[in-house]
Parts: sequence; C-alpha cells; structure tokens
Amino acid sequence: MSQVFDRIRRFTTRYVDRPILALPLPVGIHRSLFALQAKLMTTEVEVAVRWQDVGGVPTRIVSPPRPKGRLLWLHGGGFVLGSPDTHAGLTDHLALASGLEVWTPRYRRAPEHPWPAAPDDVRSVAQAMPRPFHLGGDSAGGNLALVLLAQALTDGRAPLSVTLISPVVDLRERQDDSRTDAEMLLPRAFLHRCRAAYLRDADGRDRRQSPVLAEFPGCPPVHLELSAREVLEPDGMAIAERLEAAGATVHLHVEPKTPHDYPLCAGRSSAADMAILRMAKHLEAHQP
Amino acid sequence: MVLEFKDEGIYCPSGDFYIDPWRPVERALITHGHADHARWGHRYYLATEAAGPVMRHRLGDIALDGIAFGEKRQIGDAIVTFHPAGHVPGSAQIRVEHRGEVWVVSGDYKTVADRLSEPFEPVRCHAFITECTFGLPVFDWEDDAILSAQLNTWWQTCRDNGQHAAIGAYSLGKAQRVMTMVDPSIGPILTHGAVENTNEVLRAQGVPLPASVRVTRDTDVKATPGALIIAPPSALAGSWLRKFGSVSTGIASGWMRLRGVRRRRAAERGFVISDHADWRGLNDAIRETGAERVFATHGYTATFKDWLTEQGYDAAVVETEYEGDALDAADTDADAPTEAETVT
Repeated sequence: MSQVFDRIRRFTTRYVDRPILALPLPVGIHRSLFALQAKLMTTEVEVAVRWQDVGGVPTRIVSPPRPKGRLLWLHGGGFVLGSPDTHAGLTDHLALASGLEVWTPRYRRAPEHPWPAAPDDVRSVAQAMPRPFHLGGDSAGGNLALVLLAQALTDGRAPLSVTLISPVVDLRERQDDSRTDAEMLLPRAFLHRCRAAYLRDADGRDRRQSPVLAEFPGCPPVHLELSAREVLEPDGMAIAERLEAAGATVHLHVEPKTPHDYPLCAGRSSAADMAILRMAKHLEAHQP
Repeated sequence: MVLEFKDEGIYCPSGDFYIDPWRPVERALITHGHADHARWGHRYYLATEAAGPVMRHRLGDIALDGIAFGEKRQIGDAIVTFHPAGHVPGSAQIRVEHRGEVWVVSGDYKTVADRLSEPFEPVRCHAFITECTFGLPVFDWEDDAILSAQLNTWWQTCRDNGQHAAIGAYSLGKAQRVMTMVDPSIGPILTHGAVENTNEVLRAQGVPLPASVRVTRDTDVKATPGALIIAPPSALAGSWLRKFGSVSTGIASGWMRLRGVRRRRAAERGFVISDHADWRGLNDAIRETGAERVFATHGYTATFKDWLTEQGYDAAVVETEYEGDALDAADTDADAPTEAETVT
C-alpha cells in the first residue's frame, strides 16, 4: 500500500505539484494549495496538541504519551509557504516515534516579513523554550535551524542534537542551476521567487542567510536526510562537510527516487516512515 | 523449515498440522478465538483450555482438544507448547520444536499486562512469526491508568449531561477490557447481546467482570440514565442505538490513533485502547525472542520488514488472511440477529 503511494507520488509530484509551484499565482493561493496538499500527503494522527506563546511566537506543541524531552522543529516551505499545521503530519509522527514533545513555531513568513524576521522569531522561541532541547528543520526550516545552531554554539548553548531534512544552506546568487533538471518537485522559478521574497534587497552573503558560511564550533551530532538528485542535494552535501569539518558526527542518509522533503508523507509512504524511524533513533540516541 | 507457509495457512510438516489456517484442514492449532484465527470447518482443533469455551460458543460443536499453558504435547515428530499472548483471555503464542530448532507463531499479542488476559510471556526461538498490526511508531499506547481516566471522565460527563455513553468495542476481548477499565460506580453498564453472550462464557470460566445488563427489546431506557453502553462497533453505526435517545459515541481501538479512521466511523470520541502490541511492544517482543529470522504476517508489514532488516534481522513478509484489529472485520457474534437476543 505505502509503496504504491510512493510510486503515485512520484507521478503527481512531477505532473501536478511541480507545474503548480511554477505558476506565478498570488502567495495566498500557493499557501492554500500547499495546506490542502499537505493534508492529503500524510496520515493525520490523534495526539495531544496545544498552542502556546513562546517568546512572543505562537507555537504548536505536540505531546506523545510519556514525553521524554523536547525537539524544536522549524518547518519548511521556502520561507513563504507552510506552517506548523502543514507540517503536523511530520512533527506528530516524529513526536510519537521519538517520544519527544515537538515544538513548531509559527515564525513570520515572506514576502510580508522578509529576512531577518524568521530567524529573529526562531531565536526568540529558542531563548524562551525550556532547556535542553533537540533542534531540527526541513528545507527552509533547515536553513533556520542551522542559523540558530550557529548562534547557539557561539553563545555556548548547544542543542542536544540536530536533525535536518534537505536544508537550504546557500542563498547566494548561483549560476549552475542545470542540476534542477533531475529535481522532481521544485521548479527553478519557484526557488527564485522564494529567494527574492525572503531576501528582498539582500544578496545572501550574510551567514544568517546562508549558514553554509557560518561556523559551528562544538556542534552536537547531526542526522541529515536528503533525496537523491534533488536540487538541494549539493546544499546538503556542502553543509555535511562544513559540520564535519567543525568536528561534528554527521549521519547522512540519501534516499533514492523520492521528491524533496519526502518525510512529509509520514504514514502514507514507506520511505517517509523509514525516515521518521531513522530520525527518531538519532534523537533517542542523544537523549541526556 | 519447522514451519512452512502454504495456501491453507502456516503448516508444520514434521507434525502434519496447521496453525490458525484460513482454509479447512485436518488438524488445526488455534492461537485464540477471534474469527480471523479460529475459522470454521477444520476436522480437529487444539487450543488452550482458557480459549476453548469461547471457541465452542462461536464455532458450535467442534472436535476441540484443550491444552494448558506450558504443557508439552508431541504431535508427529514436533513438540508443541502454548504460551500466553496477552491479547484476549486464553490467547496463546504457539511454540513448535523439531530437532532442536524452535519456531514461534505469535498469533495476535500485547506485551503490556491488563486486568483481563494472561500476561504475555516472551518465548526464546530461532524464528518468530509475528503480527505487526500496529507496526508504525505512531502507535504508542498510553498507560492503562490514563486510558481509564479518559473513559471515566467521558462517561461521567455524559451522565452529567443526561446522555448515555456508547462505546464501540469488539465483543471478545475489547468489550471486557473496557469493562475492567471503567469505574462501575459511575452508573450501570448495558451490553449489546453479542457482548453479553461473550461475557457469560467468560464469567462461567471464572474471568472476573463487573456486573452488566443485556439490552433487550424490553429494556427500559429511562430506568438507566447515564448508563455506559458497550456494543460492537458495527452496532453503533446502525439503528440499534436509536432507542437510547441522546447518546455520545466513542470507539475503543488502536486505530483511533489515526484521525481519518475516527472521522469515517463518525464517532465523537476515539479511545486509543488496543489489545495488540504497539510499536515499542513489537520491537521489545521480537528482541526478547532472540530470533534471527522474523516473518511479519499482517499489518504494516512492508515498513516493518524494512525496519527489522535495518536492525540486522533476517526479515520477510508473509501473506496471510489475518486481519489484526477487527474494527472493520466481521465480529462473529455481532452479526447474529439482534431479535434472537431478546429470547435468550
């Protein structure tokens, strides 16, 4: 059943999701379409959820039975789309698999709130959250997680562990976009629009925009999930090298034949469920 | 191979018998009385003494031999023993030994003890044939104390609002489990005929259950304000509930962890109460067997097999006709005509 889903999803990703993302529709419509699609992609679970103001940012907190700790998760969506609700499938499955509470802040999104609104919000949440906690994020949320990580390490407040799914690590202008041809989900036009909305007049050379430029002294163990031949695979490889160079243990998993951010399909896709299990195992292994 | 997988079911060549076969065979060893494991039409049945009465009740006059938990029995060249599975009263795992090699068929099982079934007992083996109905990590059950509190709070609230609380629970196992989890001082417990028939069988064999009243055509609804009604899930969906007037409905099942399932069943409340092992339970059970080979029979088999393989097991999926948690499956007793219940 779940393997059939993976096959169908490869088709719908290429011929439905990708063409829709390529359309220059108003951002509100893209957000609604993504929210709708997110519900269909996962199996929603019944588990205790509460919303709480954390450092001035509304945050969705999902609690598994007998929670053993906390994970701060930053959702993806190109800094423009997505919310704690669109990522509920991923965070709720991860919470139940890992036994951790997962905190997902509703950080401010572009284009209404360009950089540095999102990293500022994330920092406020991290400062207000009970410690210690694990840190993670997917796609653009991976970018925010890495930006926060670099700051936290500088401040001497390292998270327990880091979990990333296909993070965006480099927002500098790039010439070599030929690789996007193997990408199933993300059209070049969409990436450019998200980048422009988020950076507005900035050039991406700030390390709080492109964390591949940041330093990560004393980085805790990292688990990294990538999709083979996705447009962000080189980003993932680059940050893996950077983190390893800083002395971190990096466990990398590259899943073949899956679209960008495939663990969002938790509960429906076998590949996603296996990713959830790998991430949960990583989190459990680094519980204090 | 101590056991083989054939069209009729799981087969032991050295003892010439089947375990929980789904087609009629000469000799069937049965793990427990649920309809997908204990089927009609076999020539000889062997099951635990505790599982026997319910099987006779459901399957009628069958040639059934009983065996105690832990009792050794030689069948052909194989030695078999039955061990508690913690799923429903009398449920067993079946251990088969031939020339020093040991295989265990789990049937359905739950590793955490409750107040109803004989507690699960891990059995060391070389190969373990396991269910994995709830073989995804989202299936992580709460402790019974918390689940009891959820049930009691809901029932009490219904009662305070002048409503009946009606809970869907299959008639063998789950219904009685709910009865042992609720606080009977809140109000009377009314039961659907299918549930009460099973209650009578279990009480007769000494399983302690709180008092319950069978709902018949003559049941005076007004005389039992704020009662807890226990019925098979299929009965909650039909006209059977109508006479009770204002009713809040709930379902007790591991599937209630999935939002879509509760919505489709149109239940107001989902209680994540299961008679099966949750994700951790499955993993713990498999680890404790010490088995190197694991066969997954029913449930989230594909993901579970991949997971076990990654953990270093020699794992495979076996196609069977078991159904796991019988939420949508036929509950043998529930299909009995309700009119007949007014007669008994």
